[in-house]
Amino acid sequence: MNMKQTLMAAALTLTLLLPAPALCADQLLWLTDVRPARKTPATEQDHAAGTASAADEVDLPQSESKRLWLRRGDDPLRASYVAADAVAGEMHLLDRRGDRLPLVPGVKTAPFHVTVILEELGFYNAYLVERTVRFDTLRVDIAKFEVLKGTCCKKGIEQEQTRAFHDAELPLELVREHHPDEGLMTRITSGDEVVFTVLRHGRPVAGVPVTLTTQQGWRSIRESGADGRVAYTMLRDYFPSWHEFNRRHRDTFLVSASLEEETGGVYNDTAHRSVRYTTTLSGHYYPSSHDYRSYAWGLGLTLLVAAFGGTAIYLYRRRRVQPFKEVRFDEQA
Amino acid sequence: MSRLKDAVNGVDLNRFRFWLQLAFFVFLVYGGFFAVELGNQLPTFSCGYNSEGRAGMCYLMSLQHQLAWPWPKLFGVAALTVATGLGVFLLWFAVLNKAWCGFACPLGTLQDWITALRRRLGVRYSRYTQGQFRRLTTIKYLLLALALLLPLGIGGGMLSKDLRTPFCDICPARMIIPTFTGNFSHWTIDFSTKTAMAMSALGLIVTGLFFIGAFVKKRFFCFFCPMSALHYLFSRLALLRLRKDGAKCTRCGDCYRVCDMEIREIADEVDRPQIMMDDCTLCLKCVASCPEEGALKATFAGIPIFESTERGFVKRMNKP
Repeated sequence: MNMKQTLMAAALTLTLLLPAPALCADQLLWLTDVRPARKTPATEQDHAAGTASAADEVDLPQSESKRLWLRRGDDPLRASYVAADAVAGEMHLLDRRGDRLPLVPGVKTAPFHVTVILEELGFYNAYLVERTVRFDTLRVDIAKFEVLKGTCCKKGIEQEQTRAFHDAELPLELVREHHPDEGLMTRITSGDEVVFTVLRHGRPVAGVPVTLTTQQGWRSIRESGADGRVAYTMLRDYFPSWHEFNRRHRDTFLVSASLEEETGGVYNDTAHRSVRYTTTLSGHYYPSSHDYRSYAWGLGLTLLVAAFGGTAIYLYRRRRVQPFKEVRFDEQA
Repeated sequence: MSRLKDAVNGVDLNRFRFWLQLAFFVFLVYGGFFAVELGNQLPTFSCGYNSEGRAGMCYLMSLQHQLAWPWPKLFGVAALTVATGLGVFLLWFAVLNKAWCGFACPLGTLQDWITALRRRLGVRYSRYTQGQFRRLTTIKYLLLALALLLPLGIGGGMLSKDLRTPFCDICPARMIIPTFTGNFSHWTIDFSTKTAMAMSALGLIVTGLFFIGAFVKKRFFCFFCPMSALHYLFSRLALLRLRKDGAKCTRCGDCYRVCDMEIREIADEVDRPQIMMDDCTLCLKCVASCPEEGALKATFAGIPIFESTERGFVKRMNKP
């Protein structure tokens, strides 16, 4: 048995001996509204129809109820859906008035999911908080998802309905700052600047490393500033051929932040020497309209038609002008 | 009462109409900024793409959206929603009839402003021959049929979803009206799909033709407007009407000469009292230009509200 085989055997033994949760202990836990269905690439039919196969994997924006799933892993493309019996945390929903509603997961046989009932238009925050003690460390994982009940048809949306809010009781939280003009159908697109604030019990905290991972695995790590803010420009990582391009294509981004404290204590009769807080927030982004809309072609075509039409009418009118011809009548005749 | 009637019949209609059109334009294009919301069934081009400023939405837009619903939904419970929408549209329409075109339509008002510019520049206007008129006037029915049938094809799974609002895609209001509130995003060609590219390009071509056409031809676009065709289908239900007393008509032709839409029947028809034709915008210029007492009149629920009088005609003719 050579060295390579020895190492592989050791790794296999370790895999078999360690409990499953321990293996993925360092993997991020995050909530998403994308169903655990096999995602097929956009087809030419999707392109022609202007629909997205991915768009069908989520509930409609105006739906009264929305389902959320739990995923584990730091890669939005490959993270696995967590089984219902592998989740020890509790979930709750927070509305903009500060009302908290416990969320009860669905059937145990399926992947973990909850159904959120949304009575009013606007944003809601769904949280899952899971606490476990491993290797003398209390791990507090906080997965957050912004649930939006939106509409394109209603006017007079109050600013309050599009406001971002947080749960001050949580030890660590990421809040996406909403754009001042953000409505109930606003989408983040490639090229947009997205700003997050790291909050510790509702207060901004500086110096926390925040990681943003895009659908294709591009990763950027930045530290929160003095005001707890960290900004990213959402990059473009959707490059299909024109026949496969879909303007409604949606990709997922994942943001995470971690903070460790040397604070000892006991949780569920298990002592720990430190606490590690990890919070995640996922969202979606779409192709920018700059990728498929052209002002130059649009205005150029309009001007061309106007110039050509105007010239044609001018020439047509000139052609119909009769030259002056004097006719004299001889009244004597 | 008699003095009020004389004052109304002697009104300077062009000035009255200019200010009323301006008021409607501001109301429909910017009303949304003042929390005005009249719903999605307005019988005029209060463009839905003017998302922030619109005071209500053009019914053609919501109708096309509804007709694109999947057939099981459309011919199921959702049929009630469609019927309710049509009912609300008819209620709005019943008040003004085709005067929605002549007084309220923002796109019609824009065409009148372009006509005023042409007049100031001293450029003569164009007229259609009767043969051209007869052929062109059928186009709006064809566009209306397409605007209703193409979304139905989507609901049946036969057509691309990018044809959900086919008329809105080619309507110049989509480009022009949002521009008045600072939204220039529709002056683009959408290359995301073949259908979107074709329809957005067609829309911009129509917009180019709109400006050129409106400059040389009064109410150029109204000949092709499917909303006008939809109006005419229900015009008999409306309260505001145009009536003609053929016995008093001398067939002088003044009404025909002032008609922006070149409707010949307004001068030639002396048998039918209901004189309003499908191209009519109910601008009432014909009533204002008629010198015969009571030959032409606008009635609301059968009550004359504006009628031709010799005194009114002379007053308007002598206007400096």
